[in-house]
Amino acid sequence: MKNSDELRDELNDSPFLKKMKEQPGEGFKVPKHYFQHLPDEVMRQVKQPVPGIVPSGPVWLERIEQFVLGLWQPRYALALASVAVLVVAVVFLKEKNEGNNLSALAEVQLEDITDEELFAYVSNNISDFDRGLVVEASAPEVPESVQPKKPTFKAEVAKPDVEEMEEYLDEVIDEVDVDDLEEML
Amino acid sequence: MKVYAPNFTQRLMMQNSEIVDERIMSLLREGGSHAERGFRLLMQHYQERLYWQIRRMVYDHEDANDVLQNCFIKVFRSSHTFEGKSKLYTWLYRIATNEAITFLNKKKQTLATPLDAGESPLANRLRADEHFDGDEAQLKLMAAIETLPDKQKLVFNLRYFDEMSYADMSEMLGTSEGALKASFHHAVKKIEGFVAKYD
Repeated sequence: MKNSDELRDELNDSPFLKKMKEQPGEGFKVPKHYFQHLPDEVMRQVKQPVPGIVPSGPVWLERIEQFVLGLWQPRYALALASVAVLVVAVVFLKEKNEGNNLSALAEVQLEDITDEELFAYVSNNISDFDRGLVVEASAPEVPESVQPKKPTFKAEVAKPDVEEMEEYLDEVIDEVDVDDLEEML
Repeated sequence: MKVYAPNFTQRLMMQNSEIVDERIMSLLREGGSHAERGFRLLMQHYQERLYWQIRRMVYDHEDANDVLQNCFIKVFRSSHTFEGKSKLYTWLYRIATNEAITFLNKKKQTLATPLDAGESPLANRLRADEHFDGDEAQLKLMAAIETLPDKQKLVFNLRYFDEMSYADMSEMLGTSEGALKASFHHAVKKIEGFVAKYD
């Protein structure tokens, strides 16, 4: 049933309203051409700047602004925060992984260097090394028996055996090449 | 009554309201000069219906004109907030109704219940209005409607004059269809009683 038919049924209890509904108009008038001029009048007002409001930039700027403001809505902000946390986590893990790979690479490369290469490098850059360390590294291991014993509070400092000491020094002198020693020093 | 009969295009537009609404919204979304075209189409399509809705609430043409213009300006500035969840015209009716209520509250328009339908303040005001040329029966009807509570008056006007369906009214006012039917029925009885009393 159409709306107007339904309405007529609803007005069955009111003969006055039913009769008035048959009459054209309600008694109100509008000025001549009012509806023809209204859209122009409204457009004129719409284009006027609103007092107290700074004129906005171009339309595209306004849209970007609206988009950015829209991102601060709770649902978008939460999603963005989650994405940001994920990105940070991925970057962190990636960097950590790369660091591990580098140290592994360094280990592999050190293993690949031959003794000759190492010797050549150290010889060429001897001035960069600590002399004490070089001497220490080049010296043969001292037998435990000839090493001075660590002093204790009670015991007296053990004196090394003179004969053993002399033997040891002879061995060292024999092993050390004089030319090498001069070059190193 | 100087109301101009709608031309062929306007009649065609009224018969295909949904298509027109889609076209309006599409133009408004495009922005720039398209938005202006869309807004002009919106005004041409809805201005008369909104005007009469407002006029029945505020009675005076100048007041109705001010309220309608404010309504359209508000619609233009907030058209981006219309999500299309409701029909365009229920959204427009809601804005127009709110504008009219705000206007009446500002004006503190208090029209006391008349003792005599022919001598009511509204009837006297309408008689003096150059934009009203209704007869005594129409004056009586206006005076009777004026005695209704605000919400009941709104429901009566939307149903009786605009022949709006209860479904659309429910969407617009956020009231159940059953409650709206009951409200209209009570309004009809009150008006009939008022007319019978002062006949």
